[in-house]
Amino acid sequence: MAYSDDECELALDNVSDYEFVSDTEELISFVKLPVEWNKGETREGTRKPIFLSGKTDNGLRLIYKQVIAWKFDLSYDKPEISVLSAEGNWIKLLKPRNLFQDTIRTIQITVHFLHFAKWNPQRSKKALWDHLNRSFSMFQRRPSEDDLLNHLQFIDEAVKRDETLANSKLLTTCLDESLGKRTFTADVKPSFIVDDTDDNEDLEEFDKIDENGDDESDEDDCFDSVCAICDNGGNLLICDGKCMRSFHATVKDGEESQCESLGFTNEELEELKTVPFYCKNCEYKQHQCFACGELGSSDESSDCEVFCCVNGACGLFYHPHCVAKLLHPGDKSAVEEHRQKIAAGEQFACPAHKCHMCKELEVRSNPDLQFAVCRRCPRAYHKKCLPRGIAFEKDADEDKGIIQRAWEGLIPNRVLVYCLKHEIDPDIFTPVRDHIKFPGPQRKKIKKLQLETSKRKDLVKERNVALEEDDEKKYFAKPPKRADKVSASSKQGDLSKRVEKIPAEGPLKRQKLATNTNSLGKSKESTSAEGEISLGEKLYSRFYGIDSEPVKSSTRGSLPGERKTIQKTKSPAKRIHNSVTLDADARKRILTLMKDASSSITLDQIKERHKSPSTHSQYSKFYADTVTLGKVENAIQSVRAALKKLDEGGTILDAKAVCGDNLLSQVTKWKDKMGVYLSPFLHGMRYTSFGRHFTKIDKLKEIVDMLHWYVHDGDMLVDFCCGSNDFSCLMKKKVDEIGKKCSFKNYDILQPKNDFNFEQRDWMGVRPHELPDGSQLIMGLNPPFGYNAALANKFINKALEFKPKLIILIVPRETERLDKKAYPYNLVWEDDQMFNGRTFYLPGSVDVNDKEIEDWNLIAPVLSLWSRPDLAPKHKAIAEQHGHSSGARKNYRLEESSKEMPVQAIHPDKPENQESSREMHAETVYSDKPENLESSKEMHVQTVHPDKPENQEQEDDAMVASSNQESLPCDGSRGNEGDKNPAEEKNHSEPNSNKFDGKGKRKRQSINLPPEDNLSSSKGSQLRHLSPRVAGGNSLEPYPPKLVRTPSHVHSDYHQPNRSNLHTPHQPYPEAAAYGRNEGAVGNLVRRYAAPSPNPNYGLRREEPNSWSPRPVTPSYPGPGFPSRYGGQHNHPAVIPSYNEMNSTPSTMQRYAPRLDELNHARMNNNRPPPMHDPSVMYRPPGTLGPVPRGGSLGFAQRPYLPHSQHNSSSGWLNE
Amino acid sequence: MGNSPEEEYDAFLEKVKRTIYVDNLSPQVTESVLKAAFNQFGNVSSVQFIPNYFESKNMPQSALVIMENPKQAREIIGQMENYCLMILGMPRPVRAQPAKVEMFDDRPRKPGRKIVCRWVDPTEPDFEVAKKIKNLVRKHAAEASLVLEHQRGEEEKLANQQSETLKGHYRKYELLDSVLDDGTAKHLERYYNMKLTD
Repeated sequence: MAYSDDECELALDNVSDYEFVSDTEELISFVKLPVEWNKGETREGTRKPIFLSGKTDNGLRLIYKQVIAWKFDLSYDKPEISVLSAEGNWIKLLKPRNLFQDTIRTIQITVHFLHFAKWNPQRSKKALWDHLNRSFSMFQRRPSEDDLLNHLQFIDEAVKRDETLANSKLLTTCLDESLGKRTFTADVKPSFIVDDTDDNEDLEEFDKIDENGDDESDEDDCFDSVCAICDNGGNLLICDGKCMRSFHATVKDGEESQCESLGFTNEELEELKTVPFYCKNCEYKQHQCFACGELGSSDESSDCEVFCCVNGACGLFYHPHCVAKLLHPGDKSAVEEHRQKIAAGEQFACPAHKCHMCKELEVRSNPDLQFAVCRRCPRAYHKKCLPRGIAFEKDADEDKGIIQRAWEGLIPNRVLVYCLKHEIDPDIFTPVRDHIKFPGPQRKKIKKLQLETSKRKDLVKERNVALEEDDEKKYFAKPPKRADKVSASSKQGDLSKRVEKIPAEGPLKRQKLATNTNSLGKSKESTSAEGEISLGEKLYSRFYGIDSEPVKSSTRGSLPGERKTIQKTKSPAKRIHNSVTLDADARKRILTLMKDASSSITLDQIKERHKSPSTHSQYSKFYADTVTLGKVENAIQSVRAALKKLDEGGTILDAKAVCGDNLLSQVTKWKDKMGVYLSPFLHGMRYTSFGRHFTKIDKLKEIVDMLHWYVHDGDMLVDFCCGSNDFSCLMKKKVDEIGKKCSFKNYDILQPKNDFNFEQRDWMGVRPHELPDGSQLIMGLNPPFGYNAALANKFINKALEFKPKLIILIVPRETERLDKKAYPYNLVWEDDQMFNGRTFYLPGSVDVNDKEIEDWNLIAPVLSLWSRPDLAPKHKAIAEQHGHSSGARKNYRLEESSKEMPVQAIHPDKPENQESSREMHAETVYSDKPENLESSKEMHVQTVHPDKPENQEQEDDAMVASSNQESLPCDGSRGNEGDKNPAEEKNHSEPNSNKFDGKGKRKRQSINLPPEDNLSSSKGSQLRHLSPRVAGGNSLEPYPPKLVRTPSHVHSDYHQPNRSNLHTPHQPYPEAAAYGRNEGAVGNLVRRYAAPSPNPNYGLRREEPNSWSPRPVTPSYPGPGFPSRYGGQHNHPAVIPSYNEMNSTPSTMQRYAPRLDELNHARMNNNRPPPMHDPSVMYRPPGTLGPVPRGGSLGFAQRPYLPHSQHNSSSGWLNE
Repeated sequence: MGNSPEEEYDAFLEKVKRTIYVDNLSPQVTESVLKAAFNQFGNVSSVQFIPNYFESKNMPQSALVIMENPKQAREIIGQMENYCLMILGMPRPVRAQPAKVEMFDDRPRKPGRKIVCRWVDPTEPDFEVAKKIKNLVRKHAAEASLVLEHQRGEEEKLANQQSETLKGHYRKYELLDSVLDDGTAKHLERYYNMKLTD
């Protein structure tokens, strides 16, 4: 909107708000034009005609001209760029249209660069970039050397022709230094650019891998995806209705095939995209009969004339008599009969679903049995049955008059043909395209260019009117050019400030401001020339400066410095009016501004800017929009119809004609994909965490305790998806403690809280040479899982590229095992129990009580350590030495940290316990000598409950139990007992127990305390329950009734305030309720990393309600029941029921483990004999067979708290 | 405090640097939610909601999140530009920008700056100017509210559209689910003797 140049050089038109477009309507930079260096000296360059469109005469007149050359002039205060119109006039370019700015940004920068270099040959490089930054402050991207690189050749030429430039020191240094002494030839590429391309290639490779690996792609989509009008592919708009057709929406989309398209303009298309699109046929419910081509009503509710084929992938309509005729050629009575049936609403499959020759079905998996479907009539052939007259590309031969009638590859697994009935128009390669009739008012077909330009004209006119009405603008356009020039630099500075200061209105506004900048600068200039005036006037004039006020203000002056501060506080782009209510004019203007601003941002730009990490690209491939409602409805209908047909005694053949097997599988696929797509809504909204999901610190500590034995001096630990970055910190602490020196490297795409050795990067982009040799690398940990562990696999594969000596992983079971990889790794150990229960939390999400929301996996992921084969023996030895054997690990079940031991006291050391307890201790301080722990435990137990006879009993029992178990590492280790320093252990354990005696009272109460106590404590905690529930409310599935359940009280007493974090969330779900909770919670479980993935395992279970039903059964485990159960489980009836319960129930185990840690629950669990499982099986939803129950994070849920509650009561019993 | 105004002001400026301005917040967002949300990327030292003067009911839509250091603030802002952070169920990303001095209600007086208030007599030449300024301010307010109104309209439209789309997709999902759920698909599958990847 700079209108300032009208008084000088009238011969020279100027243009603002301009853009250049190619003949194909694409924005194009004028650089593509030849440069006129000197008068008459131009270089060839144009290939296509380029048009300039914009406003001239102070924005009053629109021009649209072909231009043929451009030039620039550095001799003024500001560089000037002009283009030569086809008529031979030079047109000076002022301000480009917002949208166009980006297109010409680099050349503008280059010209400015030359200009500065010419006029300030002695100044520093820094000054140069400062200046450029100021000049181009309205751009999002700051000018940089990269921008110049594209125009090196141009700079080179310019330097040759301009002596001043050639002598400019600045230019030379700049080019020499910053551009890396590159010679000015375009073919020498700057090194960092090369780097970039490398990167891109890398990424592309990944993409390729993704694609290959993504077997779920839409390849076998059984719907055609070609334009219904021209039968070509491309950018299509899909009708959401029953016809399921696709169309080229704009002329441009269908350009290649000269498709007349639906004739929408881009604007209309944008508008359309916001709602489901229905073609005219579907909108008016008037479809063409595919046999006779006539339109007929397809409205099933009244007077239906044409009926849709029931095949779910078809979407064709027929008159009953037309299709009956086709289905029963030559049999008049059958035709009539069928016609009546169809007219009466009977479903039919049209002839296009059986081969016209052999009447057999299509088999898409067999190339010979794939169909070739005529696009003009309901006729299909097997490829092998195709009449010889229908020629493929290779057979087509113009000389012999054989025209191509068949195309492969356009429709997935099918051939597109025009059968011999249809005359091919040699110009368009298809039969005449008069086959589509739309009901309703016909669109006029206007030639594209006309349409577009006239459209634009109208638009601009509108805008113009707005401007004209605003006469002040006109004034404003008047300020003399010289002012403009003088102020060039200061103006720029001013502008940049303006842009920055826009308060909180976001990018939308930013652009808009940029449009105003010129005018601002000018008015400011005009004002600043004046001398001192009173303060009030100064202020006033400042507002003028901001507000693009009319020139009147130019009589006032102000000090630039002061102005800035005031400007900042004011909102931009306003004018003075005397009234407060806005008149229509002002409104209109504001609205125009808003519109401009919003139109200056396109979705594509934003997409461009927000590049998602390579790992997530796959998710963008699925657009739910392509699965239209029409398709779904048809598919569903056809599935049902097919089944009905079969039930009525139809043949498989008939049924398949209605619903092909590929369609059936498509339905399942769709559902899966929709499930993924919708999972945030299906599973509750957890936005705040970026879908991340961190391992709890105590778990990490355990891992660290195990892992540190494998670490050597100089190793580098790489956490490829570090999340909170806790792991490396813990690890660092640990290795420091034991005096090893290691380095760390942590990658993630999001900034962690703790940036210890952190690098914000996409793991997939890390290249092998960036990390030390594999023999010093220990990498891994908790990658995002992704759907079916796809992401985890990707992360692992990437990690394997580095050939690290060890890989430690927390990944779901579906992950491809490392010993199955091309370069197999050896398993050192794995532990599938550690991550049972609430071992994850959602960072950044809090519930109403400001507690971090926790999470667990339905099926616990597995912790495993993998070794490079050459080092495997060594690592295995370490593992053995420290008791990390895989078998043992398996059972290892360890819950919270040893802090929370109190309950354990009750359960004397079972041999199995050692294991877990070992870990526990290790966690705190004492590393892993199981034996010691064991002894300590014993001591501990004794100290705490010397007087409990049960202890003894349990112990015995436990022994027995343990002896039944297959892995008894502890037994072996027992021999070592005490070979560490027992005293220390003892100390350790005792303080603990003491502590708990005091602090952890409640816990013990849970078992030992008299009931009243329980009650009281439970009350308190119950309150707490409620809130977590509410927190769970995130998932929007309240379970209020459950909250009130008494069992919760019972449980609650297990909670110590300090542990409430960990446990509260469970409490609300005592017994079966817990299970119910799963349903909601499962969503949370879903491991989401950017793209949510309801992996079947982790996902939502619909069957749950069923699974709940057994719940009522649970209460029937009364105390008396225990012993029997117990017996079943442990073969040791003598054991105290409560104890059994605890052990046997995974859920309890998990929950109470902390307290039980001395007991080896893990063992018990492992041992859990089938009977034990039975109850759980009842709860278990069908889908969860397999590993679930035990691991079940749900463990709680499944075998919910009942036992536990009983346990509680039994604790009373115990006391008796 | 006891610091000189200069020091105080400097400290304030430093605070501004480590502050993130966030807006587009859901009305349900509380201080702790916000704190937790940002705590995952750094240490939040405090959160300050900015009262919403533009609307009749004061539901803050924006807040200042003060981080531990400027670097964190910068990084978080950069990050939120790249990855949309949704806070508490609002299906639109929260926006983050560096905070500005003026965003703080409680900013200390800039040292050396003096504001003197006085009445302007109608006879004074400044009177006219003052009047104009007054009008200007009113005008700005009117314009701002117009813009806001429109913005709200647009937002509402967008929200409706989003929920429509969602409903549409959900309907499809339900349809698909129904046929799989009631065993139709299973039966058919058996008839066809094929195995679905269910």
